[in-house]
Amino acid sequence: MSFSEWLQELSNKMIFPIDLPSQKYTNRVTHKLLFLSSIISVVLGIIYDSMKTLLYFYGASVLICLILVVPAYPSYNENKLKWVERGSNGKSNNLGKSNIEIAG
Amino acid sequence: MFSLNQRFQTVINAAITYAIFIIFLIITLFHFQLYVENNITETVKVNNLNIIKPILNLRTSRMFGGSGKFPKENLRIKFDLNTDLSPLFTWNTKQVFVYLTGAYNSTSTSSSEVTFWDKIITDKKNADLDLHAVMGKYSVWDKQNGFSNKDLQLKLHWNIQPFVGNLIFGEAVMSNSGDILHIPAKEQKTNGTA
Repeated sequence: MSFSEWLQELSNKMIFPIDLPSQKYTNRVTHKLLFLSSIISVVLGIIYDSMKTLLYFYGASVLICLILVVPAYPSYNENKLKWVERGSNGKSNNLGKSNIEIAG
Repeated sequence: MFSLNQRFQTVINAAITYAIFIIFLIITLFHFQLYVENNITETVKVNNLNIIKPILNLRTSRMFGGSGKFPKENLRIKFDLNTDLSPLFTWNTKQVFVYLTGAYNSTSTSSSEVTFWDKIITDKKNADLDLHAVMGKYSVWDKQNGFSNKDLQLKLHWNIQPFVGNLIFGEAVMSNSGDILHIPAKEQKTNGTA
């Protein structure tokens, strides 16, 4: 097995998907948290008279954001899409009346 | 935001975007702070600038603009200086570069400015300068003529180098208007090349 094939296989295993409502939620969290922390870090920098405070605070908030958003927590997969079950004889005969949720 | 990779990239991209936002915020607030607290050009004053003596030398080295046949008139100064530069230090100031210059008319049509001395101040604690009988750092010479019988308008410039943002240049206000240094003619020791 070549390295690129191995890498392909690894990336196929490393997807860790989350459901659609959680995708919207994590996006919202990212932008709100980082925007607020950027303003707070500037205020803290002015109050404590140091650039270091600003950098550390912003770095910490980016880390917190990564921890909140990146891993696929079980709670991010509670509203998974339900797919049509394959029929007993191989035909998908109940397509029309299944409980497909079209997420949007 | 579907896969791990996408989520990671989104967070990092957002972090960089907001970092640029922070930079602009810092620059704006820094200029605003300097303007409000200092009225930059007005507060930095030179309390005392006293030139003890200008020292004129004829030098033949190429390092000092001369040559064996044509020595160059070099000028150094010895001076006292008292000024407080601490208003220039805010939370965004990395260091302040301060330099003492003299402006003069090199020929009848052109003017020049030479730097006698400079200093880098990295800390607010060292910003209150009180120098006594300090020798100027640089030996200066004029491209065309010497300094004999010239009047030099002395100026103390400063330059804020911030952590984030652009350099800010300025000039300290002299306490008394008579900061013109008159260089007397050098008495001829040898009669020969001039």
